[in-house]
Amino acid sequence: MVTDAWLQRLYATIVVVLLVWPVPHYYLTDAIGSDPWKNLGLAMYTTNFDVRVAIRYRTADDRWPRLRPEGESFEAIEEFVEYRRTRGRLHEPDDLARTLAHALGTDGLRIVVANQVLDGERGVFEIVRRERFEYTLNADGTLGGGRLESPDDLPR
Amino acid sequence: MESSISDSRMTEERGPGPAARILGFMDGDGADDFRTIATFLTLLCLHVGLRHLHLGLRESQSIFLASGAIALAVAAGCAFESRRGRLRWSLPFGVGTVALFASHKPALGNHAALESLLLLAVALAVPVTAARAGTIAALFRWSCVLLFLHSGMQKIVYGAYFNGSFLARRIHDDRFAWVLDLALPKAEFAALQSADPLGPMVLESVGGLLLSNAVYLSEVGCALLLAIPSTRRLGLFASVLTVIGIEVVAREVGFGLTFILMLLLFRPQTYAGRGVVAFVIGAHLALGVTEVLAPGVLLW
Repeated sequence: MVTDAWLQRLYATIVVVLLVWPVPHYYLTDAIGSDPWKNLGLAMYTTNFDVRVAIRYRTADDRWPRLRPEGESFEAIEEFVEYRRTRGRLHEPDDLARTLAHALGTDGLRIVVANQVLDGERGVFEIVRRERFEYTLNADGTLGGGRLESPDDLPR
Repeated sequence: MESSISDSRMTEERGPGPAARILGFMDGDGADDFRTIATFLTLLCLHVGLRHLHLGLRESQSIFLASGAIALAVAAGCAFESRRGRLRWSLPFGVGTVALFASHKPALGNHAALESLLLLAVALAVPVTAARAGTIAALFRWSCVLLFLHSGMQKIVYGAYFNGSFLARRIHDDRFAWVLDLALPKAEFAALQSADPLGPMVLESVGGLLLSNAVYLSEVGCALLLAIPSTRRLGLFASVLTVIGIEVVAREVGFGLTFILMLLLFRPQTYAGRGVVAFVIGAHLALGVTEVLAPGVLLW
């Protein structure tokens, strides 16, 4: 149980933290590549942000067609995108790959994840960061592989 | 049973401490009595509970049904305990549980997170007594100011409102299209509708630029009017109008209701009457009826 004075100090601290929060939030958002609306952005409708996901999977005859998401794979991608918007690069598509590998019955997946943001000045909705992942489903059911290279920050 | 934030930290030798000064800046001039805050918290929990129940039914997720039921139980507890002059048992675990449930998935987003954090802050104030009523009210008033301020400032920082590029890209969104149709010349509206989404999209007409720039200017303006004691009455009026204006377009009525409940703390006397209770219940009935007749038109 808190005292009145302690409560005042706590609430005043909350006010001060909320007052300055957009500054670290801005840099956090930029650093991890998350949606500016997320992570207690305290402001919505600030700018447009989207996460794009492109997936190819290996077939039995070693072709790599592009996945047309539907059903379970569509839901898995939607869930990944929601987490990715919040956690940015900290949320890698390992779980997505595992789900898709089982759903598609494949042992190989290539996933490209890209951030698309609005350049307010030019009014262009463009890709600014692209990451590539390649996964292999091992015979024992475990997932191998992961990020192929460091994030690809494209010039604005 | 009136309270004053400055009094509780005032000593004979020294003035109020920094914490009391920060919160005292949003003091309700002695109008924050216990019943006011108890009614506010009851209605807030009622609103959050109904919102969660709606989410639970719409998304078929039992976790929201559970958190909604808990929030409604907390509202009932608040209403019951308010007769005893303190809120003791109903808030801590109930509100904490709602916060936990509401924040378990990123998909829930900002509104639930905001509600949960504010309710969690109240849970930390248990037992809520007359002496703490002003402190709680001050936190919520500050939250209104900061929400408006940051909403406007971040639109400035991201720079997508000066030339209307954000709104231009919403041309195919039903919620925004009708207001753009009103504000833009027909030729510009038609050009935007057929524009290549990969190319630049901005507003060029005076009407469009006025609309776009009015968004952040009104938000920052409301924050300043609410922050300055002498303009708070005007600020409250402007803020309620702004929230209504935003929600007419964005249709996020659930959040709008939360915000208006918070804003009404700038006029604590509102919570002494039954009008605000009728307002919340009426708004939820309207939301429920709309959801049945036209699902998805209004957002919670």
